[in-house]
Amino acid sequence: MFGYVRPLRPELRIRDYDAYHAAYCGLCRALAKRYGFRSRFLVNYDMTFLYLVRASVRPAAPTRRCFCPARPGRKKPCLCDDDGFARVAACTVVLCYCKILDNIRDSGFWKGLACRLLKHVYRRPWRKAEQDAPEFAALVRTKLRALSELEAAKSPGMDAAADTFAAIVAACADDLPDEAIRRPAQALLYQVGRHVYLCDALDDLAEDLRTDGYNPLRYRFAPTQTGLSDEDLAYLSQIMDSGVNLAGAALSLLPVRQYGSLLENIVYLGLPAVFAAVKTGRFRAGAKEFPRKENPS
Amino acid sequence: MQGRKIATLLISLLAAFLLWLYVITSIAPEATARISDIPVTVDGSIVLEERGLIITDQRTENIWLEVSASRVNLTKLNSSSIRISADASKIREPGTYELSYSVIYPDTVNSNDVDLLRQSTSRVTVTVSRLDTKTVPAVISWQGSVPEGYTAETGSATLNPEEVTLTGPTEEISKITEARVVFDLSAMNETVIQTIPFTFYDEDGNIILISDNTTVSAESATLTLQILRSRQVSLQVELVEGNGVTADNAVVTFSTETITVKGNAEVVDAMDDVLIVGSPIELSKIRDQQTFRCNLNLPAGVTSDTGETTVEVTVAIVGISKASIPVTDIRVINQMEGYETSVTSKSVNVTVRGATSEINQLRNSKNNGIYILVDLEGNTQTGSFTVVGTVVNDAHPDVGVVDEAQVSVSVTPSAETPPETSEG
Repeated sequence: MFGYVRPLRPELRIRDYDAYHAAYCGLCRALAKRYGFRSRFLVNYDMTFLYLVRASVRPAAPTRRCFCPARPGRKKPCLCDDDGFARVAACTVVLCYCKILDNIRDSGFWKGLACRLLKHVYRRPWRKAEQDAPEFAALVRTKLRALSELEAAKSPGMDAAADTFAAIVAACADDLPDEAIRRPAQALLYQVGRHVYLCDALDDLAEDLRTDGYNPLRYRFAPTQTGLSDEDLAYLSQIMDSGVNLAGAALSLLPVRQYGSLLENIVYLGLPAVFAAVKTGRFRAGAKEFPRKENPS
Repeated sequence: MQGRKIATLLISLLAAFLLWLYVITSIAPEATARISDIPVTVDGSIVLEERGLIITDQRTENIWLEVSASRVNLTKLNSSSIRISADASKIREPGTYELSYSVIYPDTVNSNDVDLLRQSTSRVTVTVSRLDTKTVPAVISWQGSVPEGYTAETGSATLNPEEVTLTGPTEEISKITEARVVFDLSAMNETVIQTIPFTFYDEDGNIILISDNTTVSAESATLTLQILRSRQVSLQVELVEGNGVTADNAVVTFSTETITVKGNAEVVDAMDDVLIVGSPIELSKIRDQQTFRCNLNLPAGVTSDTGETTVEVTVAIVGISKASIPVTDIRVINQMEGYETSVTSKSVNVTVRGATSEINQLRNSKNNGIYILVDLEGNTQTGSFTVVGTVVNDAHPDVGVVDEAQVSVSVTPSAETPPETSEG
């Protein structure tokens, strides 16, 4: 969806790198299997992280070499964990469809044309995903409505705006039956969701200023065309660091059985690295360490 | 023989001394001496200031004199005892002037006894400038950055004084555009109150050194800078269980799950990760769902990111069963004297809630132990009317009563009460 939640590659162990790719490909496969080929295009780093969090407390799932439409000539290692991917795939479709609807609402007729087309393309997967995770779909609608109200009020409340998205991401773990797992998982996902929202807000700030779009940072601070002042950036960095610390605390409470070092890499290194890249504009520019799409060798 | 020689020698010495004394004191022969480095004093600066002028340069600062005087007087003359005074009080316009000066000898020397033979110069050169006053703003120049995790509120930093008034030669103070204090933020992790000297700058950012001719209203300023810490805290509310509802039955949602707080670094660091908001919420008073606006209860010196002081908390009661139970035991207390009260309602349905097993047990029991207490204290109404009774449930502490009970009663005069008779 956004791609802000990813490991920091130079610090990644090779086995974690392989595991991450297998999970990424596994999600892609699961999306295709449950919601049709078109849903493969919805695979993203953020939801791969969601899978890793959920799967980290379970025994390892088998990995097989599967067909990859992006590289038809070569099969790729792929996690085959249909049960584990079920909820993640449903959440992916619901979130992406709601994002399409949100884009249609925020864009003009011509700009929103592509989104209108996508809306038709993904209508059927959305209906199926809504049936698979009805409470989650309802919550997403409620929270997006709350976000629209904040947008309409041009709220400067970073906490309130980030909370709407963070609560959606946290709700991806609502179905976990064991409270000892569910609560830290929700807390971790909440912080990650908050981080994603604020990263996205900072990344989009210049564009929102140009197009007069809603951005909580725009109303919370007083940015110029060049962005936030050093002082405001320092303040925002503190808030982001605080979030990473809380995410780390939640992660340490998860009874992790696998992917521990991979999750630690994402939380402790990946999140701060992405934010640092967003701050300097390197992320948007597509810095080498942050490719837009995964391209495993 | 030897003794005579010594006596003659002593007498000769004494005679020579007396003769020398006589010559020195009575005849006083003159001698010549050069006295160097005599400082020149230019008088009249107060008068000049009144005219808006100031001496900015005095090219002749020291003078030497060659004088002839008696040896006694010469011993009293030196660069400290002689004063050379030039009078500038007659100057009325800025410019360069050559002033004559007068030599003032010490009081113990009569000026007529001293002859001035030569001097290094007969004129003292001074430059007089226009005296001006200018007020420039005091500004802060930040250097470095605060350690990670802290924010310097440079936007709200204050300087006292906020401006500096300079009084001095026009050509000197006209260049000055600001009085700057330079502050290094490195290693600053707590609020700063510090006195820092001013440095004066021109508009191109060059340092202007001020001379002794310029006076300033303040040479330093007190800087007050808040170094803040911010972090995220989760919100929580205290729940008071009761009336059949436990904390497990309460689903609490906040308008935002976490808030960003900022403030004094020490206080913020000492805060817990969880912030208890508002006052305890009594679950017994919530029927199904209720929304509260709770104070954030932030410590002094700490605020929320947007300055909000409250948060919306919604408490929903879930996971408990409700049932309507008929209550036939209705008791009346504090009846009106001389009147009889009868309860018209034979049975009142009361809504109770609690765990399903408890509710089922209550339903199945013949005598549920619940009764309604009707208190007529202060009642003056007679006839048939409805009163609100309190449902008393001592027998089932894990079951709560949701509502009060409406009970119909009839209050009539008792048989013993004599009928009222109309007078007249």
